[in-house]
Amino acid sequence: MSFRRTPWVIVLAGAALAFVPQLGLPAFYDSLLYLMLHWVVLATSWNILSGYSGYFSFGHGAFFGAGIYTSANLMARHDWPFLWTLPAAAGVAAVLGVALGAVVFRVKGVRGELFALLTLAITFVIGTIVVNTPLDGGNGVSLAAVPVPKIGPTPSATFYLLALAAAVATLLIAWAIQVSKFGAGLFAIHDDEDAAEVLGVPTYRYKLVALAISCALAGMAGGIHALFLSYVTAGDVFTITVPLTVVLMSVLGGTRHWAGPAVGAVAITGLLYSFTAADHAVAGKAMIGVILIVAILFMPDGILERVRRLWQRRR
Amino acid sequence: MNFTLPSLSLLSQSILSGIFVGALYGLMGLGLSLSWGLLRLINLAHFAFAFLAAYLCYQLSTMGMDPLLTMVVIVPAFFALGAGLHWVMVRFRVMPFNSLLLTFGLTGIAESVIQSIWTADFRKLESSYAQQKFKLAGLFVPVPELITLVLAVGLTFAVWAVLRYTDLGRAMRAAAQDAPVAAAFGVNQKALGLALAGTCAALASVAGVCLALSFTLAPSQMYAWVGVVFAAVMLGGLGSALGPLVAGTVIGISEAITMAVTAPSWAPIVSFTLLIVILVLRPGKTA
Amino acid sequence: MRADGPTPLTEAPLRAATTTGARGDVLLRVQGLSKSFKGVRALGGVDVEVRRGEILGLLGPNGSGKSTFINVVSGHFAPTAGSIWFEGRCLNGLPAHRIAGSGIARTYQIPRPFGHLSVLQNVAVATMFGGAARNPAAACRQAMRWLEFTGLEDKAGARPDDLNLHQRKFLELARALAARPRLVLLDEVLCGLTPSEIDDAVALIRRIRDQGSTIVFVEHVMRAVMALTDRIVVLNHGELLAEGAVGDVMKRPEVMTAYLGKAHA
Repeated sequence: MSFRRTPWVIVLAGAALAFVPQLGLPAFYDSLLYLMLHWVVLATSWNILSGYSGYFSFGHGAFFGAGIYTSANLMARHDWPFLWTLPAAAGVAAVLGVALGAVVFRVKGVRGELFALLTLAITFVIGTIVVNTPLDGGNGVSLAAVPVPKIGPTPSATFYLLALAAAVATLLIAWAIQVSKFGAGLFAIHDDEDAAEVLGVPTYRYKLVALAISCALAGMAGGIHALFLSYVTAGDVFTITVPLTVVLMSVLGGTRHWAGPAVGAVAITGLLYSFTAADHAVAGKAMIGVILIVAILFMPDGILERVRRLWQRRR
Repeated sequence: MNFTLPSLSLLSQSILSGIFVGALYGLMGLGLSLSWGLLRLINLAHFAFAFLAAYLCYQLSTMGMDPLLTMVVIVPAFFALGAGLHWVMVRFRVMPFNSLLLTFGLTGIAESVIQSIWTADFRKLESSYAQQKFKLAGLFVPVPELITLVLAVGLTFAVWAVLRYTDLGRAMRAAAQDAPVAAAFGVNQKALGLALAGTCAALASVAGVCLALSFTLAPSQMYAWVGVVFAAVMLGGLGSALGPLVAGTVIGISEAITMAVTAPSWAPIVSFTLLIVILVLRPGKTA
Repeated sequence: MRADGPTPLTEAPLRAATTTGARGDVLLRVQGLSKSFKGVRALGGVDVEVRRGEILGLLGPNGSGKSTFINVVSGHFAPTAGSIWFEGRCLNGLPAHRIAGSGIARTYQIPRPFGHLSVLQNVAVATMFGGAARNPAAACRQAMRWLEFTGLEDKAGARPDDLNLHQRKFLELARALAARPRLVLLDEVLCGLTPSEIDDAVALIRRIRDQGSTIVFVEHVMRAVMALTDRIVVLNHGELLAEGAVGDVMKRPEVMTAYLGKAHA
């Protein structure tokens, strides 16, 4: 088991990728890579709860959105510097998630499909609240006046580097959980929650912690994304797109491994952009649906698992 | 949030329109509830079917066909489509949860297909019915909505009667409760499953036609219905024929009152909050 | 109804192995335990004592509440009424994972292994969460020992699906033991096994008791009940019907009537 090597591999890869902006590629690439890393964070964070423990949430959009709006409002209305809004965004999203989980996880019957539907409903409830209150007010929040900190040579490079840092952190956290006692408990919950509980796994607490971590990371990604978009509207954020995409990326890459969602994220983002570049954006969306279907029918364990098994057979 | 107390006539009109839209929720929920309760498959593609049917109705009407007559073409087509989808799911042994994901994917595809054929622009079916309305006890009753109500109530009771009183209905309920035992009694599950799936899709297509008659269509609108209809299905109890209609009406009226008292943009919160409350308080009722 | 006096000395020769633990110490005391499911009464006011170091048989016809008893004591279900005392502490209202942490483990009649984890990982989870090991590495090492104890060491890397019923039952046992419990609740662990597999299982259960655990043993296989148990308790319709030594209790007329024919191995 390449146990202790993995975190170093992640960190070194991150450090190496930090030099990409120095290559002086056109801004388009910085943005594309930013988006890939952005989805790596979203998909991996989603997987920490949903993939590991089996509690498939369709509400990742709500927490991501909470992060976006926290950051946006702090920057636009209260003049907070951008970087300080990120921990706030993570915090708000985590609190929201824990509040939800504290209630929902107590109810024994809400698992599987019901949990998925409930979390989907949460997304729309929060979206509606945001639209109708001064948080958005129906007009969105404009961040055009907010300065982008000079972390990289250009603004798009800055976002890339921020997303890179977030991705490295998220991957490290996902790996650390997977190999820890906490992760073992989550995997046990995935297979048989009642048996796990009887074996001594504190299921309620573990699910809440996983949810909190997942939401905090999504919130942080949201905070970064708010400034990237520079104009935020509730209608674009609180939709079914984020949950659908993260589910797809994780299922495609493999939900039982820390790197699975990242593989899926890079693959899907790459595919989508090759479609958009070729001017077939709508077909791209259809493609996503097709891929999800194919993945569920033929590769229920994900790409990573399939590859790993082939590798093992070679040995 | 501004609260304004509406006049009695405005409130009554709102409640009436709430009943009408609730009937549509019920009609849309009928097929979904049957599919989930009796087939143990959560079919998000139900919404895709409804919208595809709606767009087809729109298309055929603009080509000269009477909107209600389009059902003659549309309903059998969707019956076949629904049965086909079910056949695929059974063939690949798709578990209940994966059926949610898979139909999720299908819905995404359907949205793209709709968008590529009919573009993202709003489309409104201009039919002879659309302009007609009459006055009943001082309230306006638009004909398209009335048709929807009639169809919803009629089909709901028809399905209920079939499930309750016919051998076919009893067989379906038996298969849903305990498949192996039902099979031992000669119930042909495969055929029943296909027939039921086809019926659910057919019901969705009728809902789609009603949708086309009363509402403006846009591909993104599909998702707006998901929450509300799921709420109606769950409130009404899975597998129940009358449930979605009753629950849908309750939701429709609550939404209408909310809209009359505050602002239309607050309406979605009603159904989703109801859904959440139901899931938390009585999940046992749904599973 | 409590048994008075020490267990009779008419043990079968097989039980000549040394018994450990202070006899007579009450490990588990259940008083007035009741459990109802939506009006169906599964247990009605059961009083039982389990003594340290003994193997207590829990018998009764189908539907008498034996599995429910195990489910309630292990925390799978909360009792409707009554109290459960373990090593002097009251377990009522504790979540199941804390009951497990107190030193009680159970097996399921139909094995419930974690399907996506390997045999070794299954046991490692039990080790970690039963308090016997703190990190995954130590847990795996300990888990290996338990696999050796139950004879499953070659199957360490296999998935539970690849095991036959006998091996899966032993996996259940290994998992239950990995937490080093003081009380082990076995729910029809011999059900479905062939005669030679039953002999293996009986030997294993005896080894379990020999290394310090107390066992409550729900079973229908009379051969094993006769060979293993010190005392038995018979339930019928959720109530305690009889209690005492095997040979004695099974001859009582009320017990014979309760069983619609005796179960044979």
